[in-house]
Amino acid sequence: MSTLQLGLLYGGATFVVLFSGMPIAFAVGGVALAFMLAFMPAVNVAIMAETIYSELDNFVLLTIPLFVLMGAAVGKSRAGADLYSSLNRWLGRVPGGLGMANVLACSLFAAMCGSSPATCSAIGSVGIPEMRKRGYSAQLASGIIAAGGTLGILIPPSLTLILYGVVTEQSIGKLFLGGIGPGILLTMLFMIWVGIRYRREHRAEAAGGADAAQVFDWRARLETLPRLAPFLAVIVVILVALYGGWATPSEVAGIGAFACLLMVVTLYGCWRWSDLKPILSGTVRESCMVMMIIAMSFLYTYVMSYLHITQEVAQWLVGLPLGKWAFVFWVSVLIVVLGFFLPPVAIILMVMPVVLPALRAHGVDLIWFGIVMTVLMEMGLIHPPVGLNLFVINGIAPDIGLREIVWGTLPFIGLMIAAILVLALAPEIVLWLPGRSH
Amino acid sequence: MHMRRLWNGFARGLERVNALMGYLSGILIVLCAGILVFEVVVRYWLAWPTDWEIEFSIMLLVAATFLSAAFTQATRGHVGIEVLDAVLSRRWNRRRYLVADTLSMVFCGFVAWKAWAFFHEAWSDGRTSNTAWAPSLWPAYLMMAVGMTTLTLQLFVQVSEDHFIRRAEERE
Repeated sequence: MSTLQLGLLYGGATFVVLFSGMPIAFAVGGVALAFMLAFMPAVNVAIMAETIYSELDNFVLLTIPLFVLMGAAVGKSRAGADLYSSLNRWLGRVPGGLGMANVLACSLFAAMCGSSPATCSAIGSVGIPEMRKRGYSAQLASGIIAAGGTLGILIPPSLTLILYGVVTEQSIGKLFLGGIGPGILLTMLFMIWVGIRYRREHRAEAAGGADAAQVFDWRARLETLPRLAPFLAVIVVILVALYGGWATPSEVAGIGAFACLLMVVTLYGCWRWSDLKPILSGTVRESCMVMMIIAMSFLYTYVMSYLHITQEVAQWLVGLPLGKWAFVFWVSVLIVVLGFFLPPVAIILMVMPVVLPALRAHGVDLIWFGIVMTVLMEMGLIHPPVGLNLFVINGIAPDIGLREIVWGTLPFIGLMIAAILVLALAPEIVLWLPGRSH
Repeated sequence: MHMRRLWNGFARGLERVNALMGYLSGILIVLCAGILVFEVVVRYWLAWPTDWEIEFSIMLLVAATFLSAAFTQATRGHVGIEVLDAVLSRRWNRRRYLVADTLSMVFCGFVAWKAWAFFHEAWSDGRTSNTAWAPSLWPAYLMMAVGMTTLTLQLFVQVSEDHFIRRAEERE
């Protein structure tokens, strides 16, 4: 069998098995095992456990469970609600201020945890009922939270960027710093859109002089700060440590997780076993799910590379008569399509080894591409049919139909595409900060 | 009746063991965070040489990943593509999941078998890591073997209960 035929068979088998409904981890591992048994020497099968173990034996991957712990600790406490009500008090006067406070709360929460669904549920569970109470349409309220939640994988610490860094051998610190500018850009675009949309929905009330917004005095504004300050301090410390190159990302993750857990225990009084239990179970569930996909996807790419499929496809991609931007465009389309069905971790592990040589040959900056790829995968999180965040919101606010949530998120998908165009025209938004770090 | 009671004892017992290992994994992750804090403190402020901390934390997290696999599976926490759920009829979905779950079980069972072989080899050869600290490697491999085995058993319980026992009960 030629490599081309083998590659088509491998891809086809993966497609079928994934759609069978098998968990992604076992599906890709199973395909890899079947091809090992059929096409590779027996010794490879014999040392299969060793192959899986050695791939996980990686200091950088260590950051993933730790950042998940950090997010779970913050997410299971009242910190999300506090963050939210505090921002609401500061932005109370602005038209659409409540919606903007939600976007901002999502982006700040994203800076404390690396996952999008976690961000969505932490802010959404307080934000959606509040917005609806104050006259926001169900569409706008759910769109704000779904889209705001996607910032979880872009704003550092980001699980997606960690994995991208491992696969493409880029510095995690630089990728994290690269995510900040685009994170702010998207947050601003989202906030502007919320302002415009709010005005449109409430034109009648504004003309009548009635303002739905509540106004808070300075005391009320400052009241929540002491409880939030330590969390904001952790974000700053993490970024400064990474920017200055003082500690490795894994050490930063360890310290961040430990500090957040300690604060949740002391500031929010979550020290009983019944408080800690959901934090621990939430952490292991998400971390195990992600790490299992990573472990088995490594096996998958190992087989693919052993059978020379990776090399052959990569060579074919390099040889395609496409310019730099045309190539980036088509890879982006591929990522968006895969994003309809697969979570970001699986996309990175399955796609990057194949397209990496061509990206290098075209002289694409890999830090820049990592950020663009993350924004592209953010879209998959709020796009049917999989759109993880859509289902999170459906869980928080069961009375809002999926259809309405989808309509509410559509404009935000447009904003993300606009942001990618801006990043293509002005790559400095990504590259300025990493270029200055040590 | 007797068989049913025996099965329930096994299935619920396994669930309890898996939950226990799940929480243990969570504690291992917290412990790992603590060790990294310790490592940074002694290295930066006390300038002690650090030789075991990083390697040990990696082992803890690999152990946590495998030990919690069955706990995660018990609530179907390992995500898959569910698009076809809405497309196919109930009967075909049931058949599809029977195949998918069985394949998952076979795959995990195979990895468990190879992990036990891997553990046995490291144990009998007294294999150690080639670092200055040079710890024995078998405990870490043992965690992998135990985790994959309980995951396989958990899948076995789910395949049996979801596809056979519950259906038999429905028929009754």
